[in-house]
Amino acid sequence: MTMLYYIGRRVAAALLTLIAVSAVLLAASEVLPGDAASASLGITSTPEEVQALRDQLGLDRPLPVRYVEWMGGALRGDLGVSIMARRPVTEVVSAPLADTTLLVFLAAAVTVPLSVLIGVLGAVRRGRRLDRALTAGAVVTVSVPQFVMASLLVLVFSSTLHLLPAVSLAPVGGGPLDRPEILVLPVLALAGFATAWASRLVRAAVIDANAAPNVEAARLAGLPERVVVWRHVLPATVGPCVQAFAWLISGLFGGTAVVEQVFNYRGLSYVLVDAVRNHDTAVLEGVGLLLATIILVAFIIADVLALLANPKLRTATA
Amino acid sequence: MSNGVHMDRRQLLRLSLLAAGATAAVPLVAGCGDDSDAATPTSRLRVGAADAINSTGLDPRTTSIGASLIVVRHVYDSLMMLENGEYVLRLAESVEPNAEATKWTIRIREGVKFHDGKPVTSADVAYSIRTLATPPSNRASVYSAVDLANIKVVDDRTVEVPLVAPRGDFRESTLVVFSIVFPDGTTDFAKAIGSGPYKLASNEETTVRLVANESYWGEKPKIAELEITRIRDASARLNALKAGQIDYAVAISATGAQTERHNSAIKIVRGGAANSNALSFAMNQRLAPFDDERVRRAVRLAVDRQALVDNALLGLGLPADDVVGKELPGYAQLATRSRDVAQARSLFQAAGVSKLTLRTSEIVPGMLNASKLFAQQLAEAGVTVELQQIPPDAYYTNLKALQTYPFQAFYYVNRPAAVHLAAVTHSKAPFNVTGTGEKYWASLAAAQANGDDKAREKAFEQLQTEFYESGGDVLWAYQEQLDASVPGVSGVRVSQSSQMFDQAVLR
Repeated sequence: MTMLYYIGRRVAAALLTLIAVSAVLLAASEVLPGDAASASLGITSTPEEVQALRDQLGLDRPLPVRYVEWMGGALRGDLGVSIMARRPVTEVVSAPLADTTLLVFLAAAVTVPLSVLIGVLGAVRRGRRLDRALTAGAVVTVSVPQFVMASLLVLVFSSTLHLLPAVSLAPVGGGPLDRPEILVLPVLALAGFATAWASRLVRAAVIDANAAPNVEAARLAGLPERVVVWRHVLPATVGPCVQAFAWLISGLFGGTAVVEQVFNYRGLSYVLVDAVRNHDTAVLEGVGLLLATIILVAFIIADVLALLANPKLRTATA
Repeated sequence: MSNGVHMDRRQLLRLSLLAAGATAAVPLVAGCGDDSDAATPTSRLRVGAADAINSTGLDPRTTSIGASLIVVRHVYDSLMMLENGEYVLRLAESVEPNAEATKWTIRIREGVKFHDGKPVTSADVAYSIRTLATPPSNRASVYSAVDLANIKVVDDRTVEVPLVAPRGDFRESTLVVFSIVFPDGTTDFAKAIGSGPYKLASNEETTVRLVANESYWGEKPKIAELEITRIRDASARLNALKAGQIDYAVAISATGAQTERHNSAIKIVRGGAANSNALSFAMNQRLAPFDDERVRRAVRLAVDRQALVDNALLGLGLPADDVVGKELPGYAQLATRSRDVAQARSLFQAAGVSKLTLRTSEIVPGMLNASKLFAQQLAEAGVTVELQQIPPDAYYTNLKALQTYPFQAFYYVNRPAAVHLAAVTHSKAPFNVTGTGEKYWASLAAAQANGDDKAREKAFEQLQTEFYESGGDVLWAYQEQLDASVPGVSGVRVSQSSQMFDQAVLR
């Protein structure tokens, strides 16, 4: 009961957040210089042509009116029509959403086990040579901007070694999975930073858990170290780690903005950049809300998992 | 209960580790995928180009740049084009005016067929002109001289195009700019039925495939298949070329071209002045202090054009002499400008000018650096230039306001002088940033109306000379179009910054 109440509260808060996000997105697109009409017609257009298109698109109506109208549609699952593509937003974003999700899923699939492994190793060997080497590696990786990392990967694996494609061109009539090698460099570019970052959090969580009284008691009771780590240390790290991985998902989706640009990968961020450039408010709202929803859901799931994994947190909500 | 939770935790942990371990293998397996396209058949040329806004529609009415323009130029025939510095007839067999140049008769070639087998007729020409001249076409202004309601189909191959005012320059100012022909009644351009050297085979999100039109009336294409891939980022295009994913990269950056100049695996293709952007610091001669002719002359004398080209454009451009149209038909062969700081200084002093404000932005790569260097050059002539920096996206936001700024960085596509002057400096042009006035407009209209080719050319030369001597453009450089290809590509023509691959060869 308390559990359901807790989840219900989180979902309600998430919905309020989404409404706030949608308002901020629309306001932000208003602040951008120019508008969809001038972006659509280009610089060879006359002011009269721009005004005619403005009227046609209803861009001169007050912001709140347009917002309420759009929100009404969104609640019915209608995200509006893209001004540039002249197609429904849902149609414009569906394939890119799938492609970006694939990218993030693969990056997470690399990041999670690697960061757990590196984090646990670092914590278990805390202060020793291996730990110091891993720490140094993580600090360097986190400090390298993502576009530099991506460019370095292209330089080494594409331009020099000719092992992997430099840009992610899906085959004609197919998707990224039909030519999986185009995913490798984008995934590595995303996962490099994420692994370095997440492994530090895992390491800290393991060190914390290692210092807990129950772990000390287990050691004093003479249990073998392997058993202590598996049975007492690692379970206690699940809560904090799951939270960290929810942040990770959000970070990975954010990271696609750079990576998709460098690799010409046609995902959601690619669409988003176009939408900002073209003042395509409907697409901007649609993509923004989709991303916000995915991230909020990830956080809710993480909260629930952390709750399941940690009796202390669970009882605190009761 | 606690027992159950304990089990859950352990299961959860094992499960997550197991899942993580299993999924970690996926990318490794994925990395081993075979590349069935590894061998490059010479009958296929792979081109990478930026995508234009709303490009996937391939609508010739709204296509103006990038991959979609390349597709449009290959799929459709044009009535006339600019090729190797000359105006040439393509689909049109003749384009002739009446004595007053108020009505033009276009006669098209015999026996030309669209890709669906239907013959190209004068009705198709009339429909195409009407469509291109009407919004949502973004070329309506190109056809503003045409009296649309009275276009007359004379016979299967002849169409009469009346104008609202006499225009002796109809061929170069209108048909050469953009005059593709599509079938009468076309409203959905997705199928791209044209009569050009290539036919549309498929159009996907990233790639457009074109196949050679075997029954093309002109010289047959040499490459069987063109694969045009939309790659937005200039460095990504260069990377794709270096990695062997494409054979020809349309538009790379000057930095990229300089970096790769010693790379024998890559050929840098420079467009020259004929395929360039003309970069200017535009002075509005209607507004102070540029209403004083001495100030305009002083600025032109103070600027070191070669230094701007060498630094801001990394040497990949040519110094310009204040008039658009170099290396293109009708250019008035004006004397090369040289710098004279002392004279500039005395002119500024005589006019009482010691401070100027330049509105600028990175509207093309290098413009901001050029503006800074320009400010230093003017400082040597005793004038402080304050730079008013605007974000590129906001630079053209208010088109009407452009004519109210006294001094601003600007760029034009380098076009034949007659085309440029007609498009940019007339009385209603939103880009009349140099503030031409009534007297000039009258001479422009008179030049345009002149039906005699030689006399008209003379009249346009006179207009250019006036611009050169006292106009408002400090046109300091032609920024070349830069492409790159694998060494085996040859025969690519670039016309007005748009690539034609119909006669290209890949060894």
